Amino acid sequence: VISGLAAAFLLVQLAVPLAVIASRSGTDRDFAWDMFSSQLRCEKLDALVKPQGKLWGSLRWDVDFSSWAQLRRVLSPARFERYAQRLCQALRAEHGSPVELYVQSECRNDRDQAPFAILDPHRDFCSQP
Amino acid sequence: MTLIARAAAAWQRWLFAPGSLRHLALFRIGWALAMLLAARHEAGLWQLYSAEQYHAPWFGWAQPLSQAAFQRLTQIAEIGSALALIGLWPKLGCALVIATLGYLFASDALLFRNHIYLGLWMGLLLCASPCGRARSVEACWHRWRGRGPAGSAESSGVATQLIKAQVLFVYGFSALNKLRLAFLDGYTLQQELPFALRSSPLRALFCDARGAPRPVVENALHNALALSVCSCSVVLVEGFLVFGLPSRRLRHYAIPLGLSLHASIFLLMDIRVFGLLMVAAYPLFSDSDARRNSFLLSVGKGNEPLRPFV
Repeated sequence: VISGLAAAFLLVQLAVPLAVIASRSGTDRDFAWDMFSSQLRCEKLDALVKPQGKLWGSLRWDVDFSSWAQLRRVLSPARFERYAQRLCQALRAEHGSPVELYVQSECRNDRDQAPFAILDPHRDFCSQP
Repeated sequence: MTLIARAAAAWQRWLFAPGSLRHLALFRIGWALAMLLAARHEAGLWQLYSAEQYHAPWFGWAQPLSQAAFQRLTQIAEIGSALALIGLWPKLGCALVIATLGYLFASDALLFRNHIYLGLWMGLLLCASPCGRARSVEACWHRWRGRGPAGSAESSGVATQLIKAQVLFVYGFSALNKLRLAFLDGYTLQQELPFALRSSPLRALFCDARGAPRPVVENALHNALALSVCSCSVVLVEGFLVFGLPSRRLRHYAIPLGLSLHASIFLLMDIRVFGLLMVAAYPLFSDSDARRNSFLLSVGKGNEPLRPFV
């Protein structure tokens, strides 16, 4: 039993980081013992909101997140979908009308890389997918 | 004997290699100290865990806590760490730390920190080990009562071996993750250091009163070659530790290098808990020689008798 448990422990310790590394995610490298190796920086990261019949406005990230580390982790598509669901619900309740939510971003992982959009800039996160 | 049978025998020999209870106790003390520091640090992060912030819990049951509950939880973590530190019901102490910091860890994926994750795994292994049988209040109590602590000496070996393997995995994957141009060319350090130096214990040396890097530091931060050399050195040291720590021949070089690595990270970035957790495991590597501890090396050796315990 001890031998089996020990083998399972070592297998988890080996397989989990390998699976994370193999996934090649740019935003989510947790559980892979990735310490200070990736440096995602976004020169531009704007969440643009437009309630029906009103002007475009910009969302303040610091209301929901205290640090870049938190915000960076929410930028994976699956996590952002869940976050957007909650956000859109709150925005609809606040404005009493449908809202549109777009994210404009220019990010890079290294010095020479061309900036890329971390989330689809053409996707309205408040519309049904 | 077939290769599979040899591998199985080597696995058993590696897993059940006897370990020193004193070294395990030293590791327990280091772990407890690290988790005490981590719990005290967490206690100051109430705003991050508050219900006003957005959270992405790993599990549905790990919901945000009220401020009072959060404070109670971090206090229990501190008590657990203190119990493990002095060796009074150390397994209970480890369990308390795992339950409390584990809850906080599970309550928000956005607040993932490697040192908490590592501490939880190591705590789990300590819970399953006879970590309180030396250098502890329990051991003193047993000595005072004139009887040795209960349990077999062999069981300490399993936990010790797994902790050592865990440490080697961490160094190995950490080095593997850094094998990318953005890290090796110094870009990552260049981005990270200006912020890290502001929280460094040597902040007064590196930054002026407004927190801006001093000119000499500013020049160093713009020296791509120097930053690249530093980055490559980190990868080389971490990679070397994977092979150096378990090897009796290389350990004399690996331990000072590992200590220097963690001391540098502490002095430049004020990262203390992670380094303390890793360094606390170093005494475990001096338990036995490289040949017996290397699973791969011992596969081809059949059932040859083990060398005397070193």
